[in-house]
Amino acid sequence: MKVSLFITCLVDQFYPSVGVSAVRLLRRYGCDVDFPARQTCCGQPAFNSGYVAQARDVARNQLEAFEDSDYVVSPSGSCTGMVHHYYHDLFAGDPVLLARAERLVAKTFELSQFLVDVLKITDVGARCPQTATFHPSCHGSRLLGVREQPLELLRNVKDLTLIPLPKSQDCCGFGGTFAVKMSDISGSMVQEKVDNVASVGVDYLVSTDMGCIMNIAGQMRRRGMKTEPIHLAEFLWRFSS
Amino acid sequence: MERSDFIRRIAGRLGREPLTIAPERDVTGPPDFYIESPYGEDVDVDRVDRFVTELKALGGETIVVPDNAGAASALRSLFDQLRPSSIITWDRSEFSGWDQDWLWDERGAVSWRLSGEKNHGSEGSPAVVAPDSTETASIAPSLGDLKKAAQGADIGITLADYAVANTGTLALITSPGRARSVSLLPTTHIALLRESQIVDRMGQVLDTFNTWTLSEVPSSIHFISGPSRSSDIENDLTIGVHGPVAVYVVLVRGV
Amino acid sequence: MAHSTTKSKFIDRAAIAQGDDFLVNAVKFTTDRLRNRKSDSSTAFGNWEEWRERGRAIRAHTIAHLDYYLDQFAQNAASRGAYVHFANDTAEAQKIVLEIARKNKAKVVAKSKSMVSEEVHINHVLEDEGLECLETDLGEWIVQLAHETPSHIIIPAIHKTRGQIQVLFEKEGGEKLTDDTKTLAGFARRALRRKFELADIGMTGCNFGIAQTGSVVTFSNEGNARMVTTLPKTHIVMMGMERVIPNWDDLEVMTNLLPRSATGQKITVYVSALSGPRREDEIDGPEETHIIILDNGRSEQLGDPEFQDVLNCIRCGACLNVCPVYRQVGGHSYGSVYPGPIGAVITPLLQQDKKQWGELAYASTLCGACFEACPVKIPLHDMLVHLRRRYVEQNYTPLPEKLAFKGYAAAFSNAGAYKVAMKTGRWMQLKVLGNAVPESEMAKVTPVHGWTKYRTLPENGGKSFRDIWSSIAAEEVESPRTNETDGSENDFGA
Repeated sequence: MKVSLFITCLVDQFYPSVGVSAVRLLRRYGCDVDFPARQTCCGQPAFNSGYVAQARDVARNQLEAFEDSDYVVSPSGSCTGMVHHYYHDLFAGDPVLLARAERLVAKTFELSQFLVDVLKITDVGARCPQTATFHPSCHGSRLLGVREQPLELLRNVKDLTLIPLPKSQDCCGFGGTFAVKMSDISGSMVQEKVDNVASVGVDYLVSTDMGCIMNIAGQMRRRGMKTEPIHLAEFLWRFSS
Repeated sequence: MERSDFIRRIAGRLGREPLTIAPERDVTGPPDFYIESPYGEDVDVDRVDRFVTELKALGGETIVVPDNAGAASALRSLFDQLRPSSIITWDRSEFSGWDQDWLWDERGAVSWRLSGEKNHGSEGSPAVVAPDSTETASIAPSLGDLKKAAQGADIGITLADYAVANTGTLALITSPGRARSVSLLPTTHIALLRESQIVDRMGQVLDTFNTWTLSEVPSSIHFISGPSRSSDIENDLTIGVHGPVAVYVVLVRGV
Repeated sequence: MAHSTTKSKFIDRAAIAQGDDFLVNAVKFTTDRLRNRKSDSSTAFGNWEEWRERGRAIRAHTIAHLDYYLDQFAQNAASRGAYVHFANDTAEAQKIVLEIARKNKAKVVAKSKSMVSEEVHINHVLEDEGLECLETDLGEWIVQLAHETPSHIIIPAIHKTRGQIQVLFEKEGGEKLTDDTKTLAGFARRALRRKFELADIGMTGCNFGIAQTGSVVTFSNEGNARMVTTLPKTHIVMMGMERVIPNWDDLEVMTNLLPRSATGQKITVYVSALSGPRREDEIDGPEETHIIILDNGRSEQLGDPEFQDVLNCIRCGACLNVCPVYRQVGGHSYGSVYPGPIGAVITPLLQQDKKQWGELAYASTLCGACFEACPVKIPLHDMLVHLRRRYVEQNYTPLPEKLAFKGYAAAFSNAGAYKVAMKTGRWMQLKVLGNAVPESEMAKVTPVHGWTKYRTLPENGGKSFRDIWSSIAAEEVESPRTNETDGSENDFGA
């Protein structure tokens, strides 16, 4: 099965180890993974701020980068959500690009979604005799509908105590430029999110979105918390290899 | 603005001329599963029991009795408890078949309708008007009656037209003998109800309205589910705000 | 919508709100309570997604044929004796109300909750005319006595403490009170009962207009909507033109969706359907009923595929109760009649000053919780993005931002430019911002300060994923394993 990795600009630049874990997991289950070097970004930062023309310029490059891929898999619920939910809108004015966008949408998956729904893997043979909680990505869960898949993978981690995060469905406050433009409101939101994480006192905070993790981790680090924020891909790889 | 221009603008924004015949509809009203199972997973639901339970959860009380005599007992018992100094009721004639003459004859309940005077209706009904129209209705209410009611009778007694089991709701349809104030102004509202009037879900009551011609549509219909309430003060629930502070239903089973 | 004199920005109003601890806690407490109750109630009811879809279908159908249903409603209401007026905008609505007031020589107007009446600032207009105009909904009355505006669609006075309410009531009634709920509510009941008796005009909103019979349906818990439509001689209904549904069967769907979505109740204490004034021989109820149907920018949304669905709204407030931004700042931050997610969408749509109000669309992380909560499935999260697009197209965004995104497009639309930009950026962070050091001196003066105020910057090891790809690609493939076996036998093949 040929899979192209859609690394996302955030993981590429700041969290390459997440990409590495994702690749290793995929290859372990028989995927022939390639990395189309042409890729840059899904265009979400511009699109969400209303700069549609700029978003289109960037997204068009993604259409080309993955034109020949069979499957496109990304370690980000948010970026995958952008493709699934908004690429149709973005390219609606151009029938040729729209057709290409729709092909891309049909073959693009978030990592946990791909493992569980396509590869039918729910158990990666991981073992972690510690405690963890899961923060769902807003865009991943609401735009893309990925809710159960990460939890299924975590539930099958041997000896792991998975504790529900209070108010898990509440946004962490990242929202891309929102965190900078409305920093005090975003700050209150991330403080509340971290209060909720602190209330369950776990070893690991797991998520499918590095945007969320970067945001939450920043506040956790500020408080000197022991809980390690970690991407699902890294978590699964670390404890199964 | 004139109605026709207003409507025309709407149609124009929707890209067409104003519709003159009813548009086709894919779906109307509630989903079928609700019509089949108005109580969800529960089967063999006793309507009386469910009505009692739902109303209780809302702070209302139901007294189930076997017959009219039982209803009278229940009312006497409530009066002993509540000690009302004034009781108003719907027009006495509405209670025929209930055998409760003692309410008015012994207990001094006031049958609440205009005594003597007939209302004068306006000539024809007002058409849709522009803001500068001058048509007014010319009904003269008895101010005395209204003021008396507004002083707050202790108890108001009505019947109900229907009751809805799955929400603990009474349905009261206004008519000359069934004044809306009687279920609203007094401190306590008591409704007399027969089991046969209870339906499962509100849509069954609403469905009966489909039989009305326009001229039969009543001035008001009131669905009442328990005593009045508010949580506006620091989210703290309080019962009895503007409407009645207590609601009792005297329910005759088996009829 | 009427011209609002607010010139402030959302972020400034929000800053004031965030400084009020009581307010912030009250908003959190209230919204938690309401959304938990909605959740419990809709789960107990079952098949909630099917109900949402049915609600959406009924509302969307009505809006798509609004000319037909509104016309039917108006004609049927008139045949039942109501005067039906059509108001283009705030000025017309005010004019119609004043004329009714003058003709009836009215002195006192008693109102039950109507957001449309607030939209057209009817209280000010009536007071300027010399009338006493009184809110009777407990929360609205409290807010009126305080000379403030409501902060939540369903529970208007959540930002007031019982102590503050006690002071307001004591001043109003001239009698000493305590601050317990029963006493305060008892005072309100007595004080407002007198007003109900004196009022010449009762004013309500309209939760749903039933086209089939021209009936106005109100949902309430306190009984004041019934009061103001029973005692005063004249009844005025303030109705948004989109608040119509086709028939009584459809009303059942709304009675199941609205109370559960707003407060978690199965039904509100009172659901009343009013069809014109009192009939001949009836002794209570209004003698005269006026229905004022308001456009005020609503018709502009018709025919617009991006925004027509916003007219489906049944004003339940569910979106407020799940919004993580509303939660932190409360209703006043939105600066206008409608707060929360629905407010952030309709305020820019209905207001004339798009520059002033369009910025509300940015008061969101686009998390989508509002869409998920909406009982009629309005895609508010998508509408916020569309509004932002319009804001940008109209050139309302600041120049530095425009340039930043032009730069982004240049850097990210091809891999070559991207690589250069990223290398520069990583160098900047390492050398200039002080990698991972909290509140480094440079960080304090850059636009990143808003970020670093609450968070410590992530470390950057220096290499990007694409830098190391070739070595990863060359790694040996591991064999798959599960916790059922140790996996050594399985070989899915590389």
